[in-house]
Amino acid sequence: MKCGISRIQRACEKIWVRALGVDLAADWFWKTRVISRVWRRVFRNQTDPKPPRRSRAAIFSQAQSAIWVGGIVLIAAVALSGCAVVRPWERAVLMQRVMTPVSDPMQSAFDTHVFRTREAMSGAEVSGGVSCGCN
Amino acid sequence: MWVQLTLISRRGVLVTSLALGWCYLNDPMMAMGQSQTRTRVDVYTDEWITVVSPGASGSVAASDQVTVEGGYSVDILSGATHVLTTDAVSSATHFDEVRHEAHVSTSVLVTPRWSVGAGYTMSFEPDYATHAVTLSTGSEILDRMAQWSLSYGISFETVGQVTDERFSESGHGHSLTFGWTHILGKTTTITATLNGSMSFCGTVIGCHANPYRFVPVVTSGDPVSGIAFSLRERHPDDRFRGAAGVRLTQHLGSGFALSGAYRFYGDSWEITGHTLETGLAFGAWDERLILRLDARGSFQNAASFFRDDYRTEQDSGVGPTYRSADRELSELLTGQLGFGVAVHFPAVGPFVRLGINARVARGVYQYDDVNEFSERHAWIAGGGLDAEF
Repeated sequence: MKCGISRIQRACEKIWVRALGVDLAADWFWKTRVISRVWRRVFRNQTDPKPPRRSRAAIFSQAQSAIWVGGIVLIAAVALSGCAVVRPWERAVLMQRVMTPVSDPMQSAFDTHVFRTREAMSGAEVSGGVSCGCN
Repeated sequence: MWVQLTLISRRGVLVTSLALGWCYLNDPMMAMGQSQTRTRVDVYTDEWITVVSPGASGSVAASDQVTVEGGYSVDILSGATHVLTTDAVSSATHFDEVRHEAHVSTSVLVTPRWSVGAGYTMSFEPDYATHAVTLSTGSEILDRMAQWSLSYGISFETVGQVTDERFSESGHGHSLTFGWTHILGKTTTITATLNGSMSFCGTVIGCHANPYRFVPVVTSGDPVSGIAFSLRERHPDDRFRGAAGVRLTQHLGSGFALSGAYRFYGDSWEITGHTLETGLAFGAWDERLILRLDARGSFQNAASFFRDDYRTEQDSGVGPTYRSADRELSELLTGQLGFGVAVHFPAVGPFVRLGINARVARGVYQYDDVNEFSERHAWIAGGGLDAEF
């Protein structure tokens, strides 16, 4: 019976993690010792070896698939929302300064400069900001 | 020796020039026909380097349709770079350097919903110069629920070496950026950006390599019995990059707004990367006071030719074709946490609005593939004034 629970639990674990497609979450899960101790005490034999730590590259590679799924969901959200029109007089909240990611575009430019110097990555920095649609 | 450009390298200059041009051309304030001026000082400092960057920019509404914008900034670099010599002993070399950058751009509102723009950016330092031209267009569509923008940039760069006047290498690059902002509801927006760029560089050091940086290698044989020597850093002659990013912003009510962003990056050097950002903003007193808390994390894997130590490579005796001592091409994990405050005063003297803002952030960079100096910790702080009239 104990063996059966353990097998079911492990299967659920795999399904939960695979379904979300975020192995990163699993890695983080095992790193948070308090939660993993409780988890193992309740569901697993305490002598079970800790799952081997995987390289960050492998984790992020698998997380990538989940992110693509997220992207598709976002695109679908945009497509579905295309039917609802927000008129200019309804955009007061959208035009608030808190809806832009930075207070000063020069600060944003300096940050971008730092990131592009400290990392090999560049491009597609997303700033945001919408039009009031009032002219 | 101020010529050691290892830390704030040339890599970012070219692409940053293009990005700056794109950012300014797409500044929503420009489309609104307002005139404004900004001044700002930013400081970056870590264990190796300090960069002080003062700058100023201004935009003038020449008419209801035409806006002209210009700016100038300086990066004053000071620090010490660690040079790995052939016997693997690191040494620190002090350097100072000044980089100048100036840009000018114009935006024309052809129709109330369609604008075009052009910009020019130049950046120079004693051993490096770049010139970039950006053309852009954008409009509002779908009952003004969406905005798109398209920007093309071309840049030309020349890399020199102050210790060797004969050394000169030229390159050029192209960049194409497409942006889409969509209003999802009365309190929600989403922005997506796609960017592709191509760099074609010289054949002596290749793209984004440092002419002052040498890489310890060893002739064929094992690292102990082989003959150790150093070769100039050498990267591939071209580089193709692609990136896609998305940002979702949601107003939470009571003056709070939350945003989250993700970016995927990939290039022809087999580097792939992921960047996550999140920010929480709070506005009080009719948004005269705004507080911001932001966090950013990124991960990238190493370039295909990057090695921490090329002396362990078995080769034909002439060294590896491509070699790099640039730790920013290694596997990299970064994190940053920042806090900012902005205060705005309406109708002060001749100004429609006057604002002051400040921000401080803490950044950590972790290079897992690199044995020596595998971490750096940075403080990034800055403050600015802006005025609309």
